[in-house]
Amino acid sequence: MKLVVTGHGNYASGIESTVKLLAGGLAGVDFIDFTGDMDENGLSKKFSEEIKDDDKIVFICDLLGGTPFKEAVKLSMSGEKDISVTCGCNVGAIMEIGLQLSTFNGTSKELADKIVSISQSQTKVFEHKNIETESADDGI
Amino acid sequence: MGEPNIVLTRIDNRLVHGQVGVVWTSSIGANLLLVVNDDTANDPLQQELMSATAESSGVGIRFWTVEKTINNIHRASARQKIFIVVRTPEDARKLIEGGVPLKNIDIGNMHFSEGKKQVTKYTYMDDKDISDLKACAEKGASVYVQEVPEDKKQSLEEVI
Repeated sequence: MKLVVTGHGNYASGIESTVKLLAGGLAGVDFIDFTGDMDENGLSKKFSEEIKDDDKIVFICDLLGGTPFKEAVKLSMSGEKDISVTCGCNVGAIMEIGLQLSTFNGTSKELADKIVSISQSQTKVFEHKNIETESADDGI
Repeated sequence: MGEPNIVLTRIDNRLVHGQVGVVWTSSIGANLLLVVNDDTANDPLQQELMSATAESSGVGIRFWTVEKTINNIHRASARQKIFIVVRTPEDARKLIEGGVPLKNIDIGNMHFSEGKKQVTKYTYMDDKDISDLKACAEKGASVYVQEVPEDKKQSLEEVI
């Protein structure tokens, strides 16, 4: 399974720098920027090149309907590989999934669903509440 | 009850933050974060902020003083894989001298402050820090510097 993080400008390399600081890097996760000097064909070529050795891929795109998203969807329609495309996911989800990537055996759709649901659960307003951290009956 | 299963102890000035809460906790397979720090044990806001990370990682979290840890760690259940986080080498040493079985001590972030010298990229120490860490090693703990799980471990002797 491979994750490809992609988006407009330096979205992907920006997230890459975050991941690097937090985890030192994630195996099986690639980052592809769509910068002002590229066109959609160039981006699509980069995608194809990046995933040529993988059978299952999840794209993590910045924006619903944007060019990285559209090119990833086109690639997923070619039918040769098991590809799912997500958008709007966050760093928390990328980290959590990226750290478990090597042990994941499901389909790209299953992984994509997981990434979206983690992103949703980590999107929130901080609200004060009294924390309960004392132990259960068993242990500390 | 047997010996508590303390998977790792990390020295980190920031205690539980993104790196510790998400990356370290999942890479070592811990299910309980034990923050041992006398200030934090009495600071509800700090506890609330660190709990947010633990909650999203699906692990339990406790905020104990050094003394409470020494007195209670042996009540831990075998199913609890404990990840202890302390702020200073001094607290790690106090835990070991109080009989808490710390086997692996990872030195993470130790920020610069007056009188501390740079030892590695993210760690600054003074003589007291070094003597506390040496004391931990003498008690049999494996003491090393490792910022993130991907990095190679650098043993204490190697860096000081």
